[in-house]
Amino acid sequence: MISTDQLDVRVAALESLLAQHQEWLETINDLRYAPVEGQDLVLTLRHVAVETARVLKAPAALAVLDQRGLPISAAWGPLPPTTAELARFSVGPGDLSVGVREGGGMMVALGLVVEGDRATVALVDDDGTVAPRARALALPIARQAGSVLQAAWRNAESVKQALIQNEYELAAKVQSRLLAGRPVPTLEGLDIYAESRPALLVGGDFFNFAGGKGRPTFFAVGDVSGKGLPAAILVTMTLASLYSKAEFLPHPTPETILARVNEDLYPNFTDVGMFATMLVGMFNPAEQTISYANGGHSPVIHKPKGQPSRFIEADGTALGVLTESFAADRTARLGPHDLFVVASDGLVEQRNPAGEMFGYDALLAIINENASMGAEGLAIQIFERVSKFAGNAPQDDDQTLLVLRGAATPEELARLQIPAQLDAMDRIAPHVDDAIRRHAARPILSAVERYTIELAIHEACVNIVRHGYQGGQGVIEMVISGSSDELIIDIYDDGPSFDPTAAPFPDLNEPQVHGYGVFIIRELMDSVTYQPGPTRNRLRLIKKVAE
Amino acid sequence: MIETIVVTGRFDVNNRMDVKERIDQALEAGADSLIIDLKGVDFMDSAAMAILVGALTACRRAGGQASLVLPEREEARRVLSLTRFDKVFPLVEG
Repeated sequence: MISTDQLDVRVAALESLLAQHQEWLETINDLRYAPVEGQDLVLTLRHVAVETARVLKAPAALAVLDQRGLPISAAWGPLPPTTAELARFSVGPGDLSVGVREGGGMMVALGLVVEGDRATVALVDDDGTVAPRARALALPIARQAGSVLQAAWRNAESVKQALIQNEYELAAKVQSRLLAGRPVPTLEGLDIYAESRPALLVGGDFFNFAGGKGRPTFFAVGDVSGKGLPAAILVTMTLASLYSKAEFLPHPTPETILARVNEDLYPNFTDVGMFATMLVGMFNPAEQTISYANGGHSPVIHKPKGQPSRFIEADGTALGVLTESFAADRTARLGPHDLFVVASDGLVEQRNPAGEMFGYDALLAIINENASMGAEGLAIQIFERVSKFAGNAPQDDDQTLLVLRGAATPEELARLQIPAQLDAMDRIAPHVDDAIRRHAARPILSAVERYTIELAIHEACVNIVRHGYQGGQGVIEMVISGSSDELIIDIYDDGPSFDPTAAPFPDLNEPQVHGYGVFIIRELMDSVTYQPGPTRNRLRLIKKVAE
Repeated sequence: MIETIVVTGRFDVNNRMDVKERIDQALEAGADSLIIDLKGVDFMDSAAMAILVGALTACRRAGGQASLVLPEREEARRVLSLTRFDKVFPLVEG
């Protein structure tokens, strides 16, 4: 039989326990509703430390998230436990451990429940009252605090991932500007085309042109080992070194440029255990040859006109392999219709779904078959054949092509002068016919092509009479030259300049009275360039012709 | 009333005003639609096209239409297809 006093004591004890549990429940609720959206991970850890200490009535606390070996922590209160002290404990999720601190006094370590990582809260327990409370509430706290931390950690991870993705996209933009931003130079006597197709967003292949502006123009093609961001960074360094050597060396040659770039970059490359193949070359228009130095790059193909294509072996090592570069200056013929092709191994090593490689012989065959095409036409053929071969197999490596083709030199075929009058326009046709007949390379010109040339010249001259001389007196001189590649018509006048290439296109949906003349010229000719001059203006029309 | 204007040989900056005069005369005589027969034309330039556009506008204003007979020679048709005149003008068999 229980006395009233005993019941009163029990009721009081239950009431106090209820009140305490209520407080605990409220606190646990607090932990759960902690703001997570956009909250810093360290702030969340501090929040966990503060709240856990409050519930368990501890004077100080430390919360640590292991982050797969890169721990971050936050502490609260006077003389909180240190990460070093906590390191002596090993508590699993939901577990509790008690120990002595370094300077005396006790501490309690509670393992939180966090998926994919470890998190712990350590509490100072000088009077020994924290441990029993912690034991009673270990599991709910471990879960609630754990889930708050988990959400904040996941959020931080996805922000980090987005930042990395941004970095990649930025690097890709920078790289594509570097590769595409330097325009392929126009060199007299040379038909050039260059294109690079990276496998990932950024890559290790590169091609570039350096020098110019009164200095010789160098081209370079290369391949930094590896892919992705690390390779792309080394590409940038290599190009920077290349530009400075091409621009500032007193007497640059491909051999010296390659050697100096290797000197520059050797420490950086060996630091990260990478290397870069590189071929540097330049065109000698007077001799119609290419000088080049090849540091380990392949495949490089030379095809003189009328002869089969053959590979050119590298005679030096890649950059970053040896302290000295041994690639020497070599020469290859590049007269009219000779070809020099520098590719990257991403093309010949491209696999199809059956696992077979495209192969070196196949590349030689394509070049042999399409040697009569211009540089761009040949490059496009090669890319397309490799792509067709690959089918739906992924592109494993960067693919780069630099095609150099010797252009034919034009000879003068016809020259005439007519007064700048509209009724003199019909004198043009006989000279166009004469030029075509005298053309030694005798390209095949259809009646339509002959007509379009005559019409383009006619329109150009009418414009000069109307807008140039504006009815005043004047003379128009015309020179027609031709090579086996093209017909060049130069029209000279010494009236005020009028640039037909600057006129806007007419709207073809609305027939109008003016504006077709210039449109016709630009549509019928392959190239139209205007050069105003102090003594006379030159309008150059170029029509490509089949051989 | 439909009137036919036949042009042969060169139709360019040097004789376009003659062609224009014939067009104007036909319209003044009461024609509201024109057939411009270019079958025998062997050379056309942008000045000739300007005349064609003028004819089209004038006929539309008169409530009619201007149609073309395309040149027989492929070269001469080139200019008309380049500027899409062969789509803008209704075409008639010669």
